[in-house]
Amino acid sequence: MLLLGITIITFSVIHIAPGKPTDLEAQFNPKVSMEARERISHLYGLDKSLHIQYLEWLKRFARFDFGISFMDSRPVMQKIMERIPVTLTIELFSIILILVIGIPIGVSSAVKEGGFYDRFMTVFVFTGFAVPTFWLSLILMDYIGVRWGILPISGIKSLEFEKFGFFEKIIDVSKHLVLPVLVSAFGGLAGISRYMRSSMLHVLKQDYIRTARAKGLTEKEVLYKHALKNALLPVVTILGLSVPGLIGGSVIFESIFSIPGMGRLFYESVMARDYPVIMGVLVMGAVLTLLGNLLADISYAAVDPRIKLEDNL
Amino acid sequence: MNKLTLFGLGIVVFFIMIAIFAPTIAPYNPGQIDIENILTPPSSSHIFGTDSLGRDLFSRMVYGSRISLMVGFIAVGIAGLIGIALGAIAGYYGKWLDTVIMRFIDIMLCFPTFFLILAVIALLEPSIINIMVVIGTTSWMGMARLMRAEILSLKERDFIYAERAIGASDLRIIAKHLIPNAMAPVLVSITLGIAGAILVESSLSFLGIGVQPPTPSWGNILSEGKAVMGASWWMMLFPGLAIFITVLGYNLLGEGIREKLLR
Amino acid sequence: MLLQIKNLKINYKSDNRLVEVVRGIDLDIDKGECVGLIGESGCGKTTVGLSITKLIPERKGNISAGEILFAGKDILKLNSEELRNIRGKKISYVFQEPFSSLNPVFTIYEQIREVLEEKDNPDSRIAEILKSVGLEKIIGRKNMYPHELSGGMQQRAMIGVAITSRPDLLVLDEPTTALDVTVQRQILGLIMELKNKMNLAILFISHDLRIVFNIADKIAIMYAGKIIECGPKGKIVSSPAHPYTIGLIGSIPSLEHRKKVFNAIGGRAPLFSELPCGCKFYPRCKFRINKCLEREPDLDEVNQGHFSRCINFHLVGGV
Repeated sequence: MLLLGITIITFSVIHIAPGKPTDLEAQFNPKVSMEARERISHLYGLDKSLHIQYLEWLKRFARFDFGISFMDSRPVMQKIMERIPVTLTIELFSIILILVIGIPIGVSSAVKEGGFYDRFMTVFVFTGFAVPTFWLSLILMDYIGVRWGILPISGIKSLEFEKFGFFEKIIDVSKHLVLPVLVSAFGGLAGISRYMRSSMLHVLKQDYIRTARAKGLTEKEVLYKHALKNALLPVVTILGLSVPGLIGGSVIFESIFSIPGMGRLFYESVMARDYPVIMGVLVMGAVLTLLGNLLADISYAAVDPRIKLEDNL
Repeated sequence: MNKLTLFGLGIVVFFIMIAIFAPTIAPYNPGQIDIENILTPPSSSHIFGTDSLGRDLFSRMVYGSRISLMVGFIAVGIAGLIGIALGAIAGYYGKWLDTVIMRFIDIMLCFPTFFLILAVIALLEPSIINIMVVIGTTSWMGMARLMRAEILSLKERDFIYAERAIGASDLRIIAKHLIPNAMAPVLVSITLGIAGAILVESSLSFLGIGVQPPTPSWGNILSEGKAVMGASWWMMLFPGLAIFITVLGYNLLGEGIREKLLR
Repeated sequence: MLLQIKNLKINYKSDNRLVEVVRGIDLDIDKGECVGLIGESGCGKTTVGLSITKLIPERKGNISAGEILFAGKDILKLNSEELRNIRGKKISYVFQEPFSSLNPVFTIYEQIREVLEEKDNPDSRIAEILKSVGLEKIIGRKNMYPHELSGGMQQRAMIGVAITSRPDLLVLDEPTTALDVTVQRQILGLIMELKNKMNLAILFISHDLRIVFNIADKIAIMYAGKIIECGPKGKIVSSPAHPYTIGLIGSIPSLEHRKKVFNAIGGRAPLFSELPCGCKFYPRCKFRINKCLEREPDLDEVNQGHFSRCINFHLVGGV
């Protein structure tokens, strides 16, 4: 909790850093209109002294009051909250996909270490990692969306959405989400499967695996009961750490696939120099990351009997 | 050495060579506009075809490699300097300095990196220098942690005590003895970091806030290609492929170094 | 004869080369008999122990020759299912480091339960086992994990797991080396007790003759991959027939009646990749003569049941 407090305070200071030069920049940049400049001044209370600016600003942030958007004068928080569910849903499915595919790949690569399968999978996941998301999105969009028309490529609902029955609505949204989720997951596969592989390899060298074999357990039991549980432990933490990466990546595919999520909101507001929204999204992004980490810590403590929860909080 | 690692090394060297010898390799001036030959598919005179202003795609790509590699190296260089320095200080001096630096790292890690980069670049001007600096100042955290961990385990070794006993200064100990011995895992980070930086730069250029046209970057070539995607497949294929292969190369190399270290 | 190891040869993989680490071992263990296998670290004794149920990982090494007859059948020729029926059920192991040999994420109860037979009532059988290894305190505490136990208790737990299926043979690989001295005695006492109660045959692998002395019936001493002396423990200690054995005994302060006390043996064991010709102990031997260099001696019977691989054995002890 203390960490949370310190974090919020301190990264507020970081916010002010881009804020300041931007102000100066904006003042000299003829593109920014007089009105906008005045709004900025007023918003930041640049006429008041530095301390007061910061404190006032911090107070509002603590209440999640991020001010009003420049673009459409709606409360920033509201705009963000509209978009978060979409992004989070895509994240969630991405993570599920990554786990469901990545962990088995990692485990089997470790078991068959050095073999053809292992080397093939290594190349495969590296491919996933090296492919630029925007390139992949474009290609998928072009082939699957446009040429073959299998899946929709824009937005999260079709035009006739309102006329659909309940199930049809769900199917429709799902169809729209397939490509973004795939793109988002493809990059993350590499990380999880490699980590799983090395964790599994490390575990398989341990003495207790020898004991398990000496006890006469089947190879399956040795691998999937004794080894796997131990190998999964560190992977759990990695999950929490992959949240910021996924959020960051959302900017690209949300823009390309026209998904109304946080990433695209961020991009649009950056383009429009909509500072309140920019700040708001940055803070929310960081908050989500912290939540992700917290979740990872908690699940690790829950799974590993050697760790007691109180020590970590 | 592992075959895959060698492959990665080969790719890396290949592209470095291309970047260095760009002027010799490129058949055309990358900025040369030829309105008569807009969007022509690959042919014997233009191996990769031409773009929407009739410029030779191959030449643009060759020069683009310079940008991508330069950004990659310098950005990671900056990140490396910051990371190694902070990590070494945190590890060596410990106590409150360590705590402060680690907290700082934790905080920096809270932000989706790409968001930060995006915001700062867009709000400042998208110049190549800015890009390099921003990527550098947002990707040092991993290296700092690695360096710190290595230093923590190394600083209690006998040869360090020996150095202190003969009165070597802290700076000398850190710079001459500790850091070189701790570099190994950081080297992996650096290699993988170059791959990451190239991806970030191309993403930024793609979104329009990276390298600005007419300077060719693989990312902004792809961005131009987006509009004519359907008909002009070469605009999409080559730059994307180039980014992909380069990044793959660095990744394979980095992983290979890591595997070697573990032995 | 319960277990017969015949001419066992094992290779280890080291930097893409194969090195012969066990160069032809013969060992017999009878029902209810305890055989001590003694040797320096790295002499191959653990390898011999592991090979009995083929526990050496493929990537580390392989058994290149020999037979291991257990109740008449050659273990090395069994398929995996038959092998599994022996492991943990007829032949059990207790390893050196109890902490790392127990799986940290499973409870003690769970790890014992895994080896129970279907017909057993888990709770009562586990309670029985815990009692027999002196872990009464844990009975009923089903959520006890290995890291919550002390080293001695962990080893007792391991022993408990090993004796659950009432095995015929128990292989102990330095079971007390990682424990405190006082705890060592307790564990040794436990092992003796169990041996007598259950008529267990035991292969007790150790580097320390003292530890093995009380419990063993027969002692076999290994050096550079071969057995260099073996026989009933009394004879080995009172009239050793190999210079190496003298050195081992010489470091035992409690055997007062040995007048010729030699200190720790100088030098170190040879690397398997650089074995000298003739007798492998030659470089460190005080009784050596030129003839020793000609060829490696055979294991000859020196006395009834007492064998030695030294041509000068009559100079060595009071044979």
